[in-house]
Amino acid sequence: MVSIVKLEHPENVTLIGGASQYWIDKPKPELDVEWSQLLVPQVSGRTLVVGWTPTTTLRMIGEAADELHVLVRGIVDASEIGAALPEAKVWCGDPRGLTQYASDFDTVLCLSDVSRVLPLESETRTWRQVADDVLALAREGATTAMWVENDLGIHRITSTHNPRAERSDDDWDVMRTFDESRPLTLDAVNAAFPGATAYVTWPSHQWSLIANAVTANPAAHAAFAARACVAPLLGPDPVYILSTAARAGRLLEYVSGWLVTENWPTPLEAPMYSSEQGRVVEISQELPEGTRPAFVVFAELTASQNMPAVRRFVADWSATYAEPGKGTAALPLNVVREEGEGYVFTSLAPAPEDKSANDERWEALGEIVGLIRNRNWRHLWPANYTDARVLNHLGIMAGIHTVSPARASQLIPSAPDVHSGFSSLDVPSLVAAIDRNNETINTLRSELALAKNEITRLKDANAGPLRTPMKGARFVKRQVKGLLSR
Amino acid sequence: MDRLTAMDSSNHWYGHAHVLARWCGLDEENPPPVEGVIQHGWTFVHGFGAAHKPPAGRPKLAWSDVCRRRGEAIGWSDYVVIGSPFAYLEAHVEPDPEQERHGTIWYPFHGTADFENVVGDHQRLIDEIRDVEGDDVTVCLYYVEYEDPTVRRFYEESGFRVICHGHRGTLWEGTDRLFLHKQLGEMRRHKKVASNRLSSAVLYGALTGAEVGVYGDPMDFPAVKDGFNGEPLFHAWWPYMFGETIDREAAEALARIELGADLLVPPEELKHILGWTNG
Repeated sequence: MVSIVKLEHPENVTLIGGASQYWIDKPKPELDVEWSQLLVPQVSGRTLVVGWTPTTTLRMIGEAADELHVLVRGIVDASEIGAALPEAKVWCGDPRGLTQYASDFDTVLCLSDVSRVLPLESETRTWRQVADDVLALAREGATTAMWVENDLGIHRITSTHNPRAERSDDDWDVMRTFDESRPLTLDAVNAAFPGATAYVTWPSHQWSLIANAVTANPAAHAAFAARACVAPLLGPDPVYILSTAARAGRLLEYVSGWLVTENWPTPLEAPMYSSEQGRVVEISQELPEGTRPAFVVFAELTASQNMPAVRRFVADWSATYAEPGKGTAALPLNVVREEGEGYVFTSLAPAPEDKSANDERWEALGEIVGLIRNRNWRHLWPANYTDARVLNHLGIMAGIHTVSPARASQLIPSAPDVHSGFSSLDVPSLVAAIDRNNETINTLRSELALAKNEITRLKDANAGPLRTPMKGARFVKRQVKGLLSR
Repeated sequence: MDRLTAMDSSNHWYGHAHVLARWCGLDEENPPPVEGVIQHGWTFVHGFGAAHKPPAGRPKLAWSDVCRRRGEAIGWSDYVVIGSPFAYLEAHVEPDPEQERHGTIWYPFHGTADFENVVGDHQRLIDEIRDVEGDDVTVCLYYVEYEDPTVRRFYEESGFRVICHGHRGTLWEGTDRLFLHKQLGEMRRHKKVASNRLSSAVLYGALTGAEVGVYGDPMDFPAVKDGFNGEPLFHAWWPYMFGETIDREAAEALARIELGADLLVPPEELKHILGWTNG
């Protein structure tokens, strides 16, 4: 929880009614999601950004606008933004309070749900009222964007946190649990904003994917949504739910929210846009029906312990990307469909230019091993297999043989300890961490059993380093130390 | 590290480790220690015998996926399905195109050296075999019965050709590493493979393309462990596998599944799985 903060702030910050001393909206940690490339062409004139927004995005918008105004509800956030953007006018408080100072903006962007706009100092208002408060700050015919969170989105239904029970900042807001005016479907959103255009977003309030529900190819949409929603840690598995939802034709029910736009001078023409490490990528692939995300299919094959199918999958994938020019080999950026006994892959993004086909395939295999092991998904390898050995088994299936344990540890990403709107240290995650540790313990136990048998054999033979008790003790110590240091 | 003593000794039975070493291009006379435990016979349970407790955390190298599923149903884990060593041999050793199949090789159901004996009327079985197959019959006895003069005499005096594929081996001693080679050779020489119980031999025969038959007194198996006598289940699961003549294609299809003949692991990968490579 936020502690009491000093009431000091930069000169460009103005406290208005509702300014909250005890609130911070800046996410912990801040993820690399950058939409300025998409937003800048929409911005003109006096521009207001409502709700916490990354300073990189604000800076780019500020350069495109005649004036940049930012409205947040917490003093800490306002001070930080004010210090980072001295040219901006930063307001801290309730949107209704701002009308006394400034209104009739040419552009109003509210990229957070309005539940993150109403300050706790203000009287309770409904979602609809706050949304109207924000939009009232725009002049008639202004360019607007407002993100609406889906209260039944995938990020909510897979979260083990109960917002009714939790008391942390992330789990409490002043309107969520008792608001009845919030639209809960795409149709309801369209009805709530007549004349506007609504896009769907994934995976949570820090969305990294925007899609046009009408024009996005269903298979490509499912693939990118699944990729966007791979939770960094465990818990109810969003990918499993989305994969099934896509097959059931119900993907759109699980979006994290809707981006509602009006009067955009540069409408979003592409079916989908993805934020990829600081840049926005347009996605317009048309994929045949039955095409599914490659990493999802791979996870299903290993979970069912179908080694021959995994072998065919990996061999076909490896053959596809043995030569450059076919796009990235990364499985989360591939889709696949079965044809006869084989698998046909389609890459959804270009390959990195600075990597050989071999390096890219190894990195892709390392990524998928990390993905499966870090989430404790079922797989086909015994408990005594290290992650490196799993990787090498896949390397052999791919025909690229093996790598050293040191190289393997570079290739396999370790389990992330951050969260992005999905659950982090919840009970299933902790149980999964215990399962992972148990697998490691089993591996070590196996290796120790082998060492113990070997010691017994040498001792029985009265040979080798065990001729004297001291030598024997040193030998055992070296063996155990070696095993534990792996 | 020399892992010889760490290997489960049953991996050497019937020369299984030797066959797999051959498949992997290694010295088949001295196979490296196998990491894990290879299923050593066809079974309707989890891949392992009643007295065999594969160690937790080590790979259980099962012949077929159904064994893995049964094992996981009782809480076991760490299965890797690799197929049966006999299927590797059958795939690896080309048949002699000149050889014509004739007669029947008959496998009386066998006991084990360790625990169980088979008890029954061998003379009555011999009479039944002659009635069905005629005189061109080779009887293959398991080494336990082959070395029992009383049992062996029955078959020798019947006028049938009597053979034995060799010793299974115990604790790395006495293994006839060519056991399966001899069995494959004999099965390819004969037109039909038969037994009085559905067993590894019948499925091996079906895999080689021989006709198969399962008939005659199955005899008693008094010391069998609870839950390890599959006779009643076999009749329920595969009624078509019983009789003097059996649908050959159906038998081969079942054999391919039970012996994992379509699941064989390529050599480089199998070496990795068996712990015969670094990393």
